[in-house]
Amino acid sequence: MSIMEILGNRLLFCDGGMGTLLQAQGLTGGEVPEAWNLSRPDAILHAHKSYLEAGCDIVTTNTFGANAVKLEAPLNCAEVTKAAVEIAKKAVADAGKGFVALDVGPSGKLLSPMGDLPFEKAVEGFATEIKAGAAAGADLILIETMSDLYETKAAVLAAKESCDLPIFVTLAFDKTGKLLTGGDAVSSAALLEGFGVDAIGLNCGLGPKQLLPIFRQLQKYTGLPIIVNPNAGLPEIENGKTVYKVEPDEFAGDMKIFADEGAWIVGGCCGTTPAHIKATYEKCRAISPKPLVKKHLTWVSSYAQTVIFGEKPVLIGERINPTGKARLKQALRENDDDYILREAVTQQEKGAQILDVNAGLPDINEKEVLASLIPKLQSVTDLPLQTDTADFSAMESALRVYNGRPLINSVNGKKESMDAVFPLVKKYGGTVIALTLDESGIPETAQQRVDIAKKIISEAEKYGIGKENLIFDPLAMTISADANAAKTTLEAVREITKLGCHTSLGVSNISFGLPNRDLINAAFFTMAMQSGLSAAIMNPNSEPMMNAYRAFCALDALDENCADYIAAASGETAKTPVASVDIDVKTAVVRGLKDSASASALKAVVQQSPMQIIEQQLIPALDFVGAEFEAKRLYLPQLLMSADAAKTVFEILRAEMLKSGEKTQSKGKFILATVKGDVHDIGKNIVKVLLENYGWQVNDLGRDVPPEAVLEAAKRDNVKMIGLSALMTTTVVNMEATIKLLKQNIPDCIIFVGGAVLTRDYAMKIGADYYCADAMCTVRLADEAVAKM
Amino acid sequence: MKIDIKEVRRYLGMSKSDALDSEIEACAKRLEAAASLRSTHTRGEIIRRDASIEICGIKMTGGAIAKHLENCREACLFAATLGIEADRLIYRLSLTDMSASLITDACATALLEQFADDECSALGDNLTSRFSAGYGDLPLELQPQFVAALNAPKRIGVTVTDGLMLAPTKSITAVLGILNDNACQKTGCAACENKNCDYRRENT
Repeated sequence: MSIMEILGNRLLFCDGGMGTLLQAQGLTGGEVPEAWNLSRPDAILHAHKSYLEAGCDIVTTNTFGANAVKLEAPLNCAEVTKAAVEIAKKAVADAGKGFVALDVGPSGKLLSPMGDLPFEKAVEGFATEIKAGAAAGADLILIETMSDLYETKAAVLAAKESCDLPIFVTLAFDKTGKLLTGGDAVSSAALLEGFGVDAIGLNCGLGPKQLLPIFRQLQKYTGLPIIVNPNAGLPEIENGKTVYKVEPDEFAGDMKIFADEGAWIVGGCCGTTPAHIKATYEKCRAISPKPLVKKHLTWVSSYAQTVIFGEKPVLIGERINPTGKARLKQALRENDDDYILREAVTQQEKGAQILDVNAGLPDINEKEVLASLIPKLQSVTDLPLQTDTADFSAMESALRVYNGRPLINSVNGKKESMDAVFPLVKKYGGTVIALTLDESGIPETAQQRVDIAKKIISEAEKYGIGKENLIFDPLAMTISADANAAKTTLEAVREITKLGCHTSLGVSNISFGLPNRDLINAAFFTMAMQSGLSAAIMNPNSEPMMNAYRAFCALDALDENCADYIAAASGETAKTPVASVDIDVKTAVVRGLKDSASASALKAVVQQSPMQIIEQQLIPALDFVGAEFEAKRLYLPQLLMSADAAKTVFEILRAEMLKSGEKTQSKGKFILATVKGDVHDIGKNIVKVLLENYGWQVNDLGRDVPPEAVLEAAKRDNVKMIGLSALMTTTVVNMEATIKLLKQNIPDCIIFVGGAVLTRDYAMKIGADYYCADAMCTVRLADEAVAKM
Repeated sequence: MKIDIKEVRRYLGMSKSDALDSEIEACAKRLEAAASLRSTHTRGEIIRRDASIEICGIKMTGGAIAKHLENCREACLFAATLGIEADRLIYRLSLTDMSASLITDACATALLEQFADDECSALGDNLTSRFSAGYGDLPLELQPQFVAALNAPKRIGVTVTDGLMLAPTKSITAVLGILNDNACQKTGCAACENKNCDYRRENT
């Protein structure tokens, strides 16, 4: 009988800690426990048998550290894993009962972009272990002690792609109910339920008493079976050794609470012994598992935040979509990620709760761009993202790298669309926006749109995707073409809401072709929310839209004590004096006043051309602060404040020039990168801001950049000026390798280097053309290099 | 934990200036809210061999560490971090406000030092100052062993990259000797061999 047939019929028991038992048999601190699968199988077998005798049903293999990324030679992941499963199987065969769980622990590395382990490498590392374990005959996969949801996703994906075994996942939370990288019980449940794992739960980190509130939180949000494997109390460090002090009886008493409240599987982790499991078994064996309660939540999440639809209308920021946005198109074509990331940060500050991400331009590779952009966006915003593409392969690559449970935009009633999108929803989890159109286009009547919605619901069911995973967009069409357009859409919103489903609209379409669009948009938005709209794709920078939203929430009792409304209103009054300061662009930049700089620039463009403002105000201002900095009368943070103020002005002037078709002047292209292996990039970021101020078009490749990637970017865009940074002696080696590769392939390239451990002599020795002692120095040397060309 | 603004100014090279007071205060406050301070330690006997010493299974070469621990029979391995949110905050600010990003970076350095000082002094009043892989002639290549011996990825989320850097970046590992009875030791800048450091405190 398989474990899934027994699960839920009776309470199941996991084993406890392995380390303590092996130490008792002679394992020393410096030894890798997994090595014993080969050298001391008897000791491992003994541990498994002790737990089976104590009453446990699920023995976990001794493979916690056997991940292919983590395990070091001469140990081999597949070999160690196979041996481990064979030992556990023998223990089960000898006992005549029990199941073998392949224990899958974390890689010990932080995934990029915050660390340096690429997502696909992580998947590969887990897959090696899981394939070996499944082939050796494990009964289930237990992914455990995970403290990062992104890594958890990699492990689950590896399991789904490597075997058909049941997948159980347990996470390690801290005292504040958070994972080490910021997720909580709710965001974990959102991600893992979407993935269709078979059971989820908690292990390690804390003792049973501290896990209880986290268990309750988890149970409130998930309809999956829950596993609880706590430590024998909180770890305490005594004389430098970690000890756990909760005794078996007390532990068992605590575990009974979990079983009574509905946990289906209980066991132990660090510090627990067969005695703890025996006591738990005795105390809990008579308890029958409580039936599970499906929660039917419509939700999406990031690594840290969860948005649940239906509580209050949800704002989806629409700004990262090139349609009709010249500046964003330019940013996408020029790999100007910073502009896009800034759009994300700004929308979050303005109140967006989810961000739409669309990179659909005919001349760019959407699949590659989305796959690289999404992790970058997730390193600057903790908002859930809506992956927005009509290209199914781009959709898959976006869903794969996304950290959390995504909002997928979109599926529609066409067979081709449903056939392509639903398998992806099934594999990667997520909630999908469903457009009520089909092969015959967008229906004229509300009823026809509702009919398409029903068709989509029944097709999704065939894949096991419940209607709570669908959010319907009954399509807002402009009233300038059809006087009844708004009424039809609103009726469809009401009817779909009656089906027990959620709705979303691209609100601003309603006013296409009309003047003063914000006015119509805001009124329509209010009407739609009153009709039950659950979410809107909108521009959070639009004051009328945000005002409509806040006023609606206050009026509909969705804003307790009108707190958000009042906060927004008082924020506006506080803002006014800053904008009224009447100074010119030059003064604002010299003083580093960003808000005044943008206000003065907006005023100046009415009277002067962008080029005049640059030549008469910006350049003199930058020259002045640059000289003050070099004379040590201004400090670096002040120089940067001026640089940021200047940047704001440049953005305004650039938009103005794009509008009038005037070409933006540039000194040329400059590539910047922090070399492979190096994750410290603040110096490079400072250089970037200053170079941009002085008219360079900077392509920032980021940090931990392999030599080949620098070469590729330089060749692709025909860039000769390249700046490299490295912090430590260990990474200067990679700087040297990058220079060598560049000089071999682009002999006339000019390389600027900087970084804490570099000296002029050393820079010359490794083949650089210029050594930059600080950021201003880079600006001067770049001009010098151009003069010499 | 409240960040010491004087230290932040020192890292910014602004010890003699009182400019940007409110900006620094704001960055410090925001970082204090974002950081998740965590630390861990373990303890082991110092095993001395001809050219190296061994602590918790880590073989440490070089004269500097041997000298640092000369009056000790035991030592602690220690690690501390501000967590991943500090990194995210500094990165996010670098897109919209580079000056605030730089100031926050300095605040993070100050906070990490303060936190590590506090945690280490709680370990006992007979400890040497912290000594990290990469100081003097103690090889940086030992970093993965420090991280592994402390079980730092699991306990506090500190990992090491292939380039031997810690991730999250605002993290440290170190060894501290436990001084034998009646032994004492110079600490801080006074104990450091690098006399031309930009950050050297005055009067040392």
